[in-house]
Order: sequence, then structure tokens, then C-alpha cells
Amino acid sequence: MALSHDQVTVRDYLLGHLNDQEQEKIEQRLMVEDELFDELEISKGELVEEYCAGELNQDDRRWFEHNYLASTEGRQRHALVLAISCLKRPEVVERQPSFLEKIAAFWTRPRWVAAVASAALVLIIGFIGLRSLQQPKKSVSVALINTQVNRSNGNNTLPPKVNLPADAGELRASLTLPKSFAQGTRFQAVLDNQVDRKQMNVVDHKENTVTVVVPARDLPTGEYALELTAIKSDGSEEAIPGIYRFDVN
Amino acid sequence: MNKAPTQDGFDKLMEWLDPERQKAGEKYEKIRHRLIKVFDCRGCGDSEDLADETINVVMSRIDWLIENYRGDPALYFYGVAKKVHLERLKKKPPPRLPPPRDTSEIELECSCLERCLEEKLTQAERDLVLRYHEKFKREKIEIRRQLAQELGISINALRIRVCHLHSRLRPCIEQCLRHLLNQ
Repeated sequence: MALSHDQVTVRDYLLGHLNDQEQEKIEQRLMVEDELFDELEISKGELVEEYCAGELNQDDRRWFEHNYLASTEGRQRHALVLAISCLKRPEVVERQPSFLEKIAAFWTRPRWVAAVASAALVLIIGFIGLRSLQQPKKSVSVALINTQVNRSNGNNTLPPKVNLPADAGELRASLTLPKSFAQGTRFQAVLDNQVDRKQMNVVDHKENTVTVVVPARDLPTGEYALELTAIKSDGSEEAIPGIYRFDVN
Repeated sequence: MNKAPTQDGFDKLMEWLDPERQKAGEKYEKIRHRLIKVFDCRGCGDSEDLADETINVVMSRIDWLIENYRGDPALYFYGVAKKVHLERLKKKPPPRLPPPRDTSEIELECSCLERCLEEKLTQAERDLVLRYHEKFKREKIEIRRQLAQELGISINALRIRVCHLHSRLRPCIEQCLRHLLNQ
């Protein structure tokens, strides 16, 4: 990714590559320009990360240690990046056989064994693939209550926790409406995963219940909310107050 | 020598920043925050004290400033901040580097981070922070590009989002560490 001119200047500033005049100029801009100030905040985090990963050269490393990293905030950011890297799971690195080991293995292994094993593997994969095509994906159901209804009834229950097994294909959520809607009313549902919002499929509406289907692939572990909008027969829209929260384990 | 700050001086300073008190307060906070950041970048261990010292110097000249200074007040503060920093360098040598962290300290930070991730971020935000910091160099860049694509935002917007998540985590970790070290 190419860096913008300001990104380069801010990095140079943090690594002590600017002369006195350039430093003064950028510090003046930092006092009055919001975007540049945001860039400074981001670049500081990225440089701390590069420092911890050993990606800075010796001179930059030393400068950074004696300047930004010597400040209270620099030490806090350093602590955060170290903690994040210690949280990350170490990767399992498989040892690759050496060239000589590969040659030795080739001559000692009967070639028909590999051929039979490959054929068996193809058959097994084909069988599993066929089975999974024939078997419909599992559907998990959950009944969700509107947060506003929940509150007005004096309840303050936590959102239900949904366990989605690995073979689940979809979640069928039955949403209780806070009031009845006339025949002919359609509904739109939106899934909010706190980062994105996505339109979901409404498959049924009976009396005061609307059924929404959410594909399991859209539901990694996390907190979710469904929002409903009623579209009346005259085309007017009415947002259903409150949301339907649930957590996926 | 500068005069000690007075309520009258402070009121005049606020008036100079903006006739509307609310806006003046916001400008004051913004200028102080940025002064702290500039001192941080210069490696000062006492950035908040230096920022306050700068403000006191400006306040001591407020009558002259109201009469004579034309321009963005933030730039005047910056000019004073440079001199305050120079004075500080003359008086005090730059702070010595703290000793490198030992394993037990990193473990403490790690457990605090786990706690703060739970307390301060949603599941989706936690996943975002951890995925954002996966791998190194080229692979890291690729993961970030993929993340931005999944979220439907630009790489820059992703950088800003993660930066904001970090700033929610940092004070929490600091507080947690203080708590654990005092136990």
C-alpha cells in the first residue's frame, strides 16, 4: 500500500528524520489540523507495532526508544502491543524434510501404496461431498423478544444465547411483534453485527410473529441484533421500535 | 518569572479562545491535548506538566495577547511550548529509558488485555483487533486488506477504527495494571 505524503511526513517526524524547520512546520500543523493529528495517532500505533516486530532499522529503533517510547503514552502503547502479541497463539510450523530425506523417502516407499491411498482419498471425498449435498443443512430455531416489549413488561433479561453447531446451515428466528399488523403487511429485517448491517430474508408472518432466516455463515461468535420494518399495503413504512438481540456462542 | 495563574487570567484566556464559554472550553481542551501529544513525541516523560506550564505562560501574557495577537491561538501556544521544552532540556537531562519489561510484567499486561477486551469491546470488535494484529509484514498487509474488504471500508478507515479501539483499551489496561501491581 502506497503511503500518502502526510503519512510519510508523520512517520519521518516520529522517527526523527526531519530537520528543525520541517519539525516545526509539522508540529504547527498538528496543532491545528484534525486529519493530520488523527494520522499521527494512527502512525504512532503502527510504529510501536513495527518496533515490537523488529521491523525498524537500528537507527530508527534507537530514536524511537529515546523519544516517543520514553513518554508515558509511548510506554502504554508499547505495553498494549506486547500484550496483543502475547495473546496471539503461536503458529505450529511443520518441519519440512530436507532434500536428501525426500529422495530417501521416494525410494523406500512402494509407489502402489501412494496410488491406492490417492484413489481411496478421492472416493472418500466424493462420498462425503455427495452425502453433504443430499443432506439438508441443519436449521436452529430461536424465539426473540423485542427489547422495548421486554422493558415495558418490567423484564431486564439478557439476550438469549444461541449455540450453532458446525453443521448448522441457518438460524430461524421468530420475532414477536409489539402489536398486530393488518393482513398484507410485509416485513423487512436487518441484521446488525455491530460492524455491518445486512438485509435478511423474512420467510413468514403469522399474527404477531415474524420469522427471519439468517444464514449460519453470517453468524460467527458475537453479539447481534435484528431490526424490523413493516411495509404496509399502501407502501408506507413503519420501523418497529426496539430491537431483537441475541448472542451466538 | 511568570505570574501565578489567577481566575481572572483564566477567564480572559477563555474569552480570548472564544466568546462562547462552551466553545472556549472545547478549544482549551483540544489545545492542551495536542500540546501533550507534541511533548510526548519529543520524548517528555512529564508532558502534562509541560502542557500546563505552557498554558500558564500564555495566561500570564493574556492582556498583551488580547491587544496585539492576531492569528490562531493554538499556534501561539505552540510557540510558547517550544520555549518551555527548551528550558526544560537545559534544566533537566532527558529521562532515562525505563528498564526492559520482564516476562512477569508482560504476562500481567496480557491478562489485563484479556480482561479489557472482554470489558470494553464487543465480540466483533475483539475479533477485529486480534485479526488486525495477526502476522507480520506482507501477510499482515494482506490480512488488513481482506479485513477492510469484509467490512466494506477503506484501509484508512480500518486504521482509524482500530486506532479508536486501541484508545479504548489503553486506559483500561493501565488501570488494571495499577490495580494488580498494588495488590
